[in-house]
Amino acid sequence: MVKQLLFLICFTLISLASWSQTEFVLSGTVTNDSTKEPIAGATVIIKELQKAVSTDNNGLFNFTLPEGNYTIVIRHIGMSEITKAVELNKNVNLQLKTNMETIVTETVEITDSKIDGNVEKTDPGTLVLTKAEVKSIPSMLGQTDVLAALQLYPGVQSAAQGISGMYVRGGGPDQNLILLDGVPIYNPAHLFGFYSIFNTNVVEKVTLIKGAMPANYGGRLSSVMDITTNDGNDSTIHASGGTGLISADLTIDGPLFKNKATFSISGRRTYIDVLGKPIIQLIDKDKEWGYYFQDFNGKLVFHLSDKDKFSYSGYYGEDAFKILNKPAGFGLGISWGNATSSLTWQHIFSDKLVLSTQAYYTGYRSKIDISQNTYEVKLYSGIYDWCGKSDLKYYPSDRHTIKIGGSYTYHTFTPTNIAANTDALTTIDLDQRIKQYSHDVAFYLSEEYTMNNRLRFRLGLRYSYFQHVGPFDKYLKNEFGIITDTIHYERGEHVADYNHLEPRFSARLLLNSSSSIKMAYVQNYQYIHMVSYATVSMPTDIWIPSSEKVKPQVSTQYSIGYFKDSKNKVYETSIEMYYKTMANQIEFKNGYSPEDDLLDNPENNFVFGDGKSYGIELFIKKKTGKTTGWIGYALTSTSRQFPDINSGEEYYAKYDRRHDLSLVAVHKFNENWSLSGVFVYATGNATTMPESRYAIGGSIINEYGKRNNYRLVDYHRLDFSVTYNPKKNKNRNYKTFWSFGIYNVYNRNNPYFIYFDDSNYFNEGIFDTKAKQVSLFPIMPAVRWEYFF
Amino acid sequence: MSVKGKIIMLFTCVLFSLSCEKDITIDLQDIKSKIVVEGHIEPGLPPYIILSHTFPYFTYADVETLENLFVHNAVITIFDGSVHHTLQEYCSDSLPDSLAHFGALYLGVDIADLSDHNFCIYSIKADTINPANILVGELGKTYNLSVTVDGVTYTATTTLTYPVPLDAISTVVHPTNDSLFHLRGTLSDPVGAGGYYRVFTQRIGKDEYLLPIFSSIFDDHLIDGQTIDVLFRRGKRMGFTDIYTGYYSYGDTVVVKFCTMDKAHYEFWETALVEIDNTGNPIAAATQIATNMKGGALGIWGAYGAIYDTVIVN
Repeated sequence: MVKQLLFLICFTLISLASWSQTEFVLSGTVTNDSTKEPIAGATVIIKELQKAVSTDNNGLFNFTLPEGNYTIVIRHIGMSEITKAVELNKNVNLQLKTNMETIVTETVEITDSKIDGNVEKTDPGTLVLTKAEVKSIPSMLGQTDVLAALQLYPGVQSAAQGISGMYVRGGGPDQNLILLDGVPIYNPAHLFGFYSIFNTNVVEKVTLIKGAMPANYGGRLSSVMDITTNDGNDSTIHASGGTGLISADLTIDGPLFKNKATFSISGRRTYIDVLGKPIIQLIDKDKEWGYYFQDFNGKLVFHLSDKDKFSYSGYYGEDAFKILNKPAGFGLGISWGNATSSLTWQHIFSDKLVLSTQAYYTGYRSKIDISQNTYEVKLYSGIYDWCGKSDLKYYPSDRHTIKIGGSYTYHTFTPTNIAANTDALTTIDLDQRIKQYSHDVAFYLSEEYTMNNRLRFRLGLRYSYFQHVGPFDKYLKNEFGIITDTIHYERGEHVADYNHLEPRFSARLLLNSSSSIKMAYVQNYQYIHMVSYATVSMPTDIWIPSSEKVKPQVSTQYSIGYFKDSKNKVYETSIEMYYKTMANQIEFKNGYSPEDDLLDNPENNFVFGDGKSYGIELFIKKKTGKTTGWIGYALTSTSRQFPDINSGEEYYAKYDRRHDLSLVAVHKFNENWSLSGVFVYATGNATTMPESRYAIGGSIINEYGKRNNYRLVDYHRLDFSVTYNPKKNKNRNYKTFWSFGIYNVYNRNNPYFIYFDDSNYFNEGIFDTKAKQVSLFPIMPAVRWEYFF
Repeated sequence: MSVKGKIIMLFTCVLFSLSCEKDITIDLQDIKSKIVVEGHIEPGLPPYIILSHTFPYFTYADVETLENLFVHNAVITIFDGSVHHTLQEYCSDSLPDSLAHFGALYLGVDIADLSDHNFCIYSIKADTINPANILVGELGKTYNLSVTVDGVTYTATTTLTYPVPLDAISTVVHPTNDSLFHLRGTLSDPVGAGGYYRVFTQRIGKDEYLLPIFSSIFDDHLIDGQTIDVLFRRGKRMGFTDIYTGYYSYGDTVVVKFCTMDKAHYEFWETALVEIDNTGNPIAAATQIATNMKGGALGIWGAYGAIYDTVIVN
């Protein structure tokens, strides 16, 4: 690792030495002329040199070029193209403004940054998704969703129907760093995973990195999903919203102080509970059933000067579900939610130097409350972070982009806390809490270096340090599993620590103006872990820190890809291959139940093992024309090997998926009408089956086969939607937009899970077991009406 | 269903995305049957072994199915540290009364009806010449089991742990029905190893034999060396409906069998009971049942350090 660090430093110094040629700086900012917001991810091209860069989150770009006359072209989907001639005989700074192309773009239009960047950009396995693309895809019940859209790309998959956790290149759902305005989100799921918590109307841009994670990101093994929200319109107050079958939402944004400050607030709530209550009462007045989710986003942005931007961003969301069966005396309540709050200060020292500093809080908690007459059990779980971080971007020339930064996070974990009482006996203290605390520190250095017109590298190194600290009670056990001693650690006292260097490397070799080869090597460490008790991802999954027994997860990924644009960039294609190994993966031990955590350290109930994933991903996209869309296909294999599971033999991960195909098409008939369709096909999930039974001690017991040795049936589904975008009525100061869709057109019964029902005769001593497949979503209509002021 | 009912159902299905469910057929792989051992020994009593084999998961199973699972003509020996004792197979036509309740429990039938069913069990041979040679459980002793079936030998070892007597047994009345009770055992757990417990009860005149209570197993990893109260909720027999499951009635005379056991024995029942509890739970993870049998057999050869109490519920 020391050699890697020295190599990076030497490489950076050597490459910096090459600036000494006599050149001029051509820099600038690209902004949206309507909203005055900077445009991130726009492609800036020097036509004569066939050089291109993307604007950063502040809309900034930077070239260092020899003296001469150049044509600069700015492209961004949904925006008018800008072409500008520049005579470069001194340093030049441009303020470039562009406008929306169509009215639709005012509210939705953004697109995949692979446009223009497919061949040119350095990193393989990276894509940028925009609000327009999300909204053009048919959705369940008309509720467009960022994560559901991402799952239509190769290498990204869901566990089952709905999103139900996102699995990227064989990694688990906890291995994705999901950032909302730079703040981690620990559970992005509403409605048990069928929608994400991200309100599409406030999303500005989504960047997904599934391959070459740059060094400024860390703490997760598999991917980064970086979501930025709208700053708010700087000119006038806008309102937009929509109503669908299950929820309604409203977003208002505009200037707070003209040209000085903007605001954006948004809220969303389901009304299933409100509409459903009378129906449930009609069917069975003794039963109550209720569910809702709601979320709120808020953002304030202050432009203190041309060089200083200060922003506050917050999110609060919650889900609540309850069932009450009065005659049976049974009640079940499940609730969970995230809350974030962040302050960010960006300071532009110069066109070449930008500092971003952020402080935030993020928290996730879940609670299950089960009662049967006077017997009641409550399970609590959560994770809460306080963090400060700072990132410095330096553009010494168009050949170099240097990023350097660091972060500190204080984690508080609440793994499963259980509280129970029954009849006259209190079996467990209701106030009992088991918490764990840790410090999480990281520093990084990253350098993107353009060696020549063909070759570009990104080198990065991340140093991470994680310390588990008190207060903590460590239980020592003998060979019988009996607690023989307890070691108490005082607040802040060191319990265990880890530190690692994480090298990152990616390169792009431009073969010609329309094709390139990219490759990457990344090593990541992850110090926090999510463990699932159930066979499906649930809000009750618990987060725990690395500790003395729980070693940090580590992955190494190699990837290589060929990228090609054709027919004057109407089509873009790519083929990528990857191989990834993962160590120190976690599962609950055999026979675990949550009460095992009581007065015990959670890590005593885990087993540890390794994972492996490899595959090939194909992607073909038609970007322009009346008909657009893409085909994504992934052929992958994902396995796990734990000494204490499956007799130590390797087995398929539950989300191993041999084939994963997505077809997306959007046809625009005219300015008002368009039709879109999605078809997805995926190999069935791996599952464990009971193979035989035996009688013992007056009971019948199931004997299971090898872990995940069977497959659920394949998943496939077709969706359609039609959008009607009527011309604006001149007599109205608002515009409307309609979307009609059909989800699961041919009513495929895709498996959510299977279970075995032998309840018919169980009480008569007869076993006649039937396998039952549960499918959640039949053919369903979708309607959504949106409005914009 | 009325039109209104259909509309409600459709609306409910669409609006709330209620799940759709259907029967499916699963083609299980070619599964070989495995030998299953159920064997126990306790202080002062001879050992017994019920030797059977597994049956396919999706097979229709009733008492007749269970009757056909017994493995016959096995060679079974138990080594008590000094003598190898060979067990004898007894079937329904030659079953001693002392073993009848094992058959009733295994098959889920009344003892009186056992003669109508086929049941086989291995236990000690009668030694009429020297009864002192008969093997019975002795506290602290280790017993090695060897089972040979069709030339394949399966082995296991268990130790008869010392029992821990309950300090007291009292009653806990149902909050709304004063004729129903749970029992409450007060246990002073000895400091140190060996705290693996299992509880059985039998209502005299109502139950034909001892039945494990609900959540019949626990260990002392949370309570080592402490005095605690343990709730006894009455268990039920397989194949019998019971509207007052969990409760004893006023006036019941209840025999409580309170057992200690070794770690391997505990782990078998711990995992087996988790799996039984998970039956029908669609999202529960599969539990691999632990066993102390070596050689590929399933089940348990376990000793119970048992102690008996009798209480009258009032």
